[in-house]
Amino acid sequence: MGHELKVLPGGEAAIVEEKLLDDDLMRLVRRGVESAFAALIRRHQALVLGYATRFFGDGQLGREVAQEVFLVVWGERQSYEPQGRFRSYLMTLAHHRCHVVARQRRSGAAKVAALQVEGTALSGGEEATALGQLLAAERQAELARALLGLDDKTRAALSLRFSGELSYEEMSAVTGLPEGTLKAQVCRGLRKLHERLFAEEGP
Amino acid sequence: MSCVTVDRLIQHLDGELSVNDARGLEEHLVGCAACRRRREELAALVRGLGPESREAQAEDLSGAVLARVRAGERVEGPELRARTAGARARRWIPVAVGGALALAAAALLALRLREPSPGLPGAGSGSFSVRGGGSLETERWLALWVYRRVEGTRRYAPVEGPIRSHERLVFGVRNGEGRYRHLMLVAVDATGQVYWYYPAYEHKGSDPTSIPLGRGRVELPAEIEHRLSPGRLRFFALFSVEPLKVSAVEAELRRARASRKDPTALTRLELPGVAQLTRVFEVQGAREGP
Repeated sequence: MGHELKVLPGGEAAIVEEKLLDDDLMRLVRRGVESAFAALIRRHQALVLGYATRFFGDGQLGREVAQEVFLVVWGERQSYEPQGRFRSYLMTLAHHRCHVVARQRRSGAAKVAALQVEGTALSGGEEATALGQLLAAERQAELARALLGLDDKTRAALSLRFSGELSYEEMSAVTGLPEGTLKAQVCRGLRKLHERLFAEEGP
Repeated sequence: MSCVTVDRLIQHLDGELSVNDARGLEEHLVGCAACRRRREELAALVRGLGPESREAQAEDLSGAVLARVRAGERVEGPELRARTAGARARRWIPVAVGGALALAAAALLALRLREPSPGLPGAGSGSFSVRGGGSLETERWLALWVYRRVEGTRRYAPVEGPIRSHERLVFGVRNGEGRYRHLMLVAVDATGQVYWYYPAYEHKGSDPTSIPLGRGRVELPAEIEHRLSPGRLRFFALFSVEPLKVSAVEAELRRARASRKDPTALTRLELPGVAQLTRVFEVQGAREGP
């Protein structure tokens, strides 16, 4: 695996080989190498953004919180201990940041449930496929609304499992909860979503 | 069998059922439209909860974050900062131990690669090795199981010891992190004969691709029988993000075979970006005629 760094004329070290391990990138981030931090962000932003967006049901708020998570990483870069588990560390920060922001919003009388729900599948496109996209977006929005109806812990468990694609072991490291509890939360969450979205439909 | 509860269907989708329970449930689904429909509804939910669209993944936050860094903005990590240094260290100890165990396991596997199963013929379970295109952290989450039917029952048990030449086998894999989206399962014997399990490859001239792979524990439903030649048989489970073509894997097998007398001594195929698991078994019994 290449660990090549290239020094640009301006003197800034630029990562030209982005296959560096996360921990190696963090070692460079500790030294203040911004391009290493940018590489880390690009590598993991979909994970954090997906989790935060699912958690809040709001793409704009998800983007804001995802940026804040990376700002926490930067702020705490000196205390990060390379143990080969940057992904779990990052998701731990994301998990806590989402709960902090949710609490702040609740205390500020801005209920999370009142947030505008965004579909994630609608992206314009050809007229011929517009109806299909609209339907997919509406279904996605219904799901996002139903997700917001769940409690924070259940929503977090579902987001970590399916949006973050974490194993139960990783989820346990992120949340501090036993795997059995997390499995029960995922099961309960899916059951409730199913009841809300499909119960009224006949055979 | 009475109808399946929603919780049971969820456990099945989440890869939390044993192979026998999963098989029983799948047999019920074949004859029960109501349960099939419920399972499809739940599967749609899981898909909807899945990772963000490609458009969202393409979004680059790095510029905005770096601009905020340069502006001197700080965001506290209140939950982590609230812990004492000792508490934080304790929290990460299990993770560190896990990492050490993974490295130890990787070292053992590497040893096995260099010393391929001295007691293999008829000596119990098949040898196991893991090599791949991903990191060790990724490979920790991959597994391959080979099952045979327990005679006189509808239950399955992991294969230990030799396989009979005409035996029907069932397979299961674990795709723990869900990073890989496609799977191939192929075996090669000491004569160079290749046996395709997934995908099915029945018609010469066709060039099927890997099968789609779900996340977690995935039980592959079919009982598959090949007329296997006696001797060593090496299975390769190939996990990939993009589908592989049978022709590409066969070309690599041909290339690798050309440089070795015993193809079952191969421990890795040169397929970039493909995580690989291999298992070796001894096949016993005369090969039956066509």
